[in-house]
Amino acid sequence: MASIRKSDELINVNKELAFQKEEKNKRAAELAIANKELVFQNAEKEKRAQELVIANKELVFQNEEKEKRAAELIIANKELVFQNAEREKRDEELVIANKELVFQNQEKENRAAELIIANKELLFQNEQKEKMTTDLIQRNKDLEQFTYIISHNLRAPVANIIGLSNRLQQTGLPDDLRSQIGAGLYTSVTKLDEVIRDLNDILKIRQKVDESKQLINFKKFAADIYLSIEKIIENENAVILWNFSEDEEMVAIKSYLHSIFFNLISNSLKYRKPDVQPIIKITIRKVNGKTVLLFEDNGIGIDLSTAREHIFGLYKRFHPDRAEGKGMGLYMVKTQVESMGGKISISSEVNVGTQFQIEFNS
Amino acid sequence: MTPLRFIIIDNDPVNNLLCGLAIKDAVVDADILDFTNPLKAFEYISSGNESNNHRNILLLDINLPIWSGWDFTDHFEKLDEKIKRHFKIYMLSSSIDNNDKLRAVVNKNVVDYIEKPLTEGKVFSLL
Repeated sequence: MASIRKSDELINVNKELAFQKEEKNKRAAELAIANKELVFQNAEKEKRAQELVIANKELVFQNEEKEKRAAELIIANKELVFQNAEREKRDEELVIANKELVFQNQEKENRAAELIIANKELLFQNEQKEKMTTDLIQRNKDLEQFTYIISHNLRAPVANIIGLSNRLQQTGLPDDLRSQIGAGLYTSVTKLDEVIRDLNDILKIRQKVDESKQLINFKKFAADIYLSIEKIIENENAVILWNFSEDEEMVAIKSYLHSIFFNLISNSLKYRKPDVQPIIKITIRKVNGKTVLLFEDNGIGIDLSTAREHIFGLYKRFHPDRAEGKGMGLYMVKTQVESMGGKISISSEVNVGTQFQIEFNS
Repeated sequence: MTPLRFIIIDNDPVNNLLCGLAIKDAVVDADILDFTNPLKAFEYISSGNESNNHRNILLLDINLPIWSGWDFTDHFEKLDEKIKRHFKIYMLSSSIDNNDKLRAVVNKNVVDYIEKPLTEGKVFSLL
């Protein structure tokens, strides 16, 4: 019986072995499958790894690119920062330059304002100088005229007196000559006195510019004038035509204005036509704020082509055949008109009449 | 010998009286003509006829009505030489202004300047 047992045991062992073998085969198959799976997985992983390597390479490349770009950007940035700094510097410079320009502009404006003031001052000084020049020219003319008057009008009667008085010392003068010399002496001395008085009157006018002016109403003034010349007007059978509005008035030195009217009316009567009734037309009117006086007559007139230069000159005479005139009237009129800041002008036609126009600024 | 004539042009009768006396002191039988109006004097001179028979000494005042003595010489200048040569013009003036004397001296129609009053001695200097 042992052998059977042994065989059984062997069988059993065999069986166990076969089973184990089968188990081992099964396990091997499973392992093979697992292995295959692993191989597959491995291959997959390798594939994946390869892909990753590629992707990695790509990333590295991209990274490099990005770094390159970043470096470029840094450079560009640095450049921009530099440019910005430059611009800011430039801006600051411009701000300074601008401030400087504003300052210069202001200086220039200040200077322009100063120049405008200086210019006004110069204009004023210029005007003053022109006024002074005109004044000096007038004074010079006056002085020339006075030199002339001294040499001629004042010296002439003196020369006569020298000659006449010298002759009086001669013995045995016939009586008629002696009385002629006496008459000549009287004429000369009277003439001398007249010239001295004239000179005094003229100098008084030149000095008395400050005499108070007053408001003159022409209606009342004309009545005054008429009263003072009534006699002459009647003697000459003359007519005076007044032409002005009732309330016409001006500011003037009354005595001068009176003298101007008196002299111009006397002048018209002195140089009337012998056989024609003298008509004197006096017009007073305001033109642009100026007072204009017009004296028109129908007298003998005067040829101004030769006389114009001297018509208002002192002791200038144009009608020597008429004894009355001594060449003082028109000179006085002009002097008085000018001393009141006015102007006088004449127009005339021989055998038709004469017209005087006087213009005052007030 | 052509006779001598004095022509006085002055609007002052007293001066003309004195001139007449002074001239007669120097030339007893002097021929004297006076004018108070310069235009009348010029009319007389420019007509020629009568004055051409004389040697004329013209005593001309400066301060005259209408024409001054200077105006007179300007008009005289325009006259014919045949008339002019019979006249010697002297300015006879009261003026003591040197400018008047100078002006007379440079005027080619004026011989000389004489200051008033005219005296016998001054007349002699003209002869």
